[in-house]
Amino acid sequence: MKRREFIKLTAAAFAAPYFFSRNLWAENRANQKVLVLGIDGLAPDTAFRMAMNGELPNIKKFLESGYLHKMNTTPPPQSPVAWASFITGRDPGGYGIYDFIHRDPKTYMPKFSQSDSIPASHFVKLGSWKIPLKGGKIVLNRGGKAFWEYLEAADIDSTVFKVPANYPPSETKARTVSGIGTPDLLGTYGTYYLYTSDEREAQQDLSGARIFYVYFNEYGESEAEIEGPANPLKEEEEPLTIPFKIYLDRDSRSARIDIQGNEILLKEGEMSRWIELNFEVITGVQSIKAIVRLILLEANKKFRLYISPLCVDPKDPALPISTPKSYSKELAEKLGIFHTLGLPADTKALSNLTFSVGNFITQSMSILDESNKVYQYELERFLSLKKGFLFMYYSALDQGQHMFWALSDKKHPYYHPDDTRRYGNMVAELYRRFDKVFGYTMKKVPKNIPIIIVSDHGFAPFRRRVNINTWLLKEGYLKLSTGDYDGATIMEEAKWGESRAYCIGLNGLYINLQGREAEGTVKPQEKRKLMEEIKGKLLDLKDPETGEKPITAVFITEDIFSKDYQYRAPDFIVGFNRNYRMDNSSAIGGLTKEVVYDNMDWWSGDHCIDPAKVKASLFSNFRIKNENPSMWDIPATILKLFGIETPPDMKGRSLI
Amino acid sequence: MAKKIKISDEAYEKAKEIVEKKGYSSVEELLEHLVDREYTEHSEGGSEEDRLKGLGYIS
Repeated sequence: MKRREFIKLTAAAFAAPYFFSRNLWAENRANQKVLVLGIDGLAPDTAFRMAMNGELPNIKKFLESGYLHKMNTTPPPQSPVAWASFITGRDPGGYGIYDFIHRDPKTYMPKFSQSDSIPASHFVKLGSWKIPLKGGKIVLNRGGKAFWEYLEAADIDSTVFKVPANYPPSETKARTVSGIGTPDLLGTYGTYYLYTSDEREAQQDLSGARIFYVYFNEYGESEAEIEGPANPLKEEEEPLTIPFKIYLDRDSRSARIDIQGNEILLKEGEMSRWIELNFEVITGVQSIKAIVRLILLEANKKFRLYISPLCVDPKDPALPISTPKSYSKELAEKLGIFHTLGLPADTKALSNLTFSVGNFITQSMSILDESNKVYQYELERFLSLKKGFLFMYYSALDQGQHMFWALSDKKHPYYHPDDTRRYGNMVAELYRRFDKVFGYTMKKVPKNIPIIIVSDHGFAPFRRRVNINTWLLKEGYLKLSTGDYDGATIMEEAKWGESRAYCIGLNGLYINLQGREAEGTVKPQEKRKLMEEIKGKLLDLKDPETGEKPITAVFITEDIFSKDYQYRAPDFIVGFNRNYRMDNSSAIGGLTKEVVYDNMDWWSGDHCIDPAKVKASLFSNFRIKNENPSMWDIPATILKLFGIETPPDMKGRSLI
Repeated sequence: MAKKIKISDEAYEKAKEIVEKKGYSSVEELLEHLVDREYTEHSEGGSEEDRLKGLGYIS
């Protein structure tokens, strides 16, 4: 394509979105069906550039009669925050999710924002057994009413597959499966197992992993066990375990793993099918079902076996993952077992170098294949309905861009030319895979059905880390009881009686406020002046190595959001420049030697930055009237497509 | 055996509001949960950090 032609098309699609305008029908009547695809992390600029280059022929075709808008995402542009806006039509103050990570003002401890688990409160003790009389429960912290509840009231058959920020799924008659926020059976957001014959590797303390040393006898046999969830009925809550046997054949670089009647034969690099496990709580009476996949990482000089986090079995879920409860079982019986963990690709395993890039690609593509199978099944069902709504969510592009960015970014400090030569531009490959999803959709869905395809944010390089706690220390806003701050945490070392601000979360910054924080020092009447001072200094911060400004926006939450959940809100949301993101340890209260330093991790792309720099995508096969759409406008638009007026508690407005 | 505790009227009203919003069955259940959470955080330390690391963003 000639450069002039490309520029013309670029200008047309973004600056004058109705350049391709042919479909005006959507606003003129109440529709019987609406289809929405959620592709996490789909960046509008990348999609458009590749489409116009001819690399994404189906997206190009879609745009010949449809539209692509750059859409405002939420501050911060984090998936649970932005998708909660999509669910409720509100800003973060209207549903109370401001970050993946919130803090408890009474303890300053980081906590997961989306849900709380309430343990069983009444027990009968029988020897070492502790029998709960009243079960515990898990509570969704996302406030606001989900838009499908309005569809339900209008008698519209709705299916919502894996939308983030909906675990446990809110009560509804709609068919829903929970997405990001769904834990594994250890109660974490993904803890994997590594069994290794390398003693040194077995001694490592890796984030999000449990590592076990395995010793082989002269016949290449070994025994190990999987440590499962704690036995809820035992006084000591000892872990439930499942033993397994390994038969290693070094010559053929393969192994057989025998576990609960399954004989799993794997060659080096191969991934198993889903294996169903049964953790017996009381033999023959009560058990906890789990599903795992195994990858034989090495089977020659070293033996290394990966077992995925213990995911909830959709056929017999131990945790609430769907509405109705039978829906996940229905899907698993029709399509086979599918991934249920909120963030299913094991990014930690690659960050920890347990995985090779190749292992991560194998796992990621299988997740995408499973999502496609569910989409195909649900789309057929949707098309057979007289009146219905379908939302289908994809995580693979987001997780892939996080991990594959450095493969195609020569300026990234973690750029690996050897892996780039071997695996190519995997980000571009993922966009090509999603182009096929567009193609399939256009082929199957009649033109008179409104289609919306949205992402929650774009993507950017993550080359440099910024530790806001270290910056606060150096600026005198945070005081520690130690001079040796590298590796310290505010929870252990902060002198709270002398500290005025602290950082928890991927974008959150808090004032140590009297009357709110346990040991608050800043009087409410002094808060505003201090906030303006900190904001000004953050915006002036310079990267000593590059001279760039790492921070381009600082939002004061009480100025921009609804007040319903202000008590949970960080006082500031820090908007990083492209190339920068919050340091990992700063997000959980840690400090590092330098304020700004290189990000040496496969987790090399990110989006938790200034929302203006990672706008979301909004594709539609109908014209919209607002040229500056926002994420919170989507639910009002869906309702309007069905002829339902926007509820007064929604901030967003219909785009048609 | 259960113990009785005294809390201010203001705290009780706030607790009732949370019970309603978050689906607890009673103020007692809420208080037991809060105590349990505090106890876990202080006695085990770092467990929430381990849980969060599974997200990948901070590993």
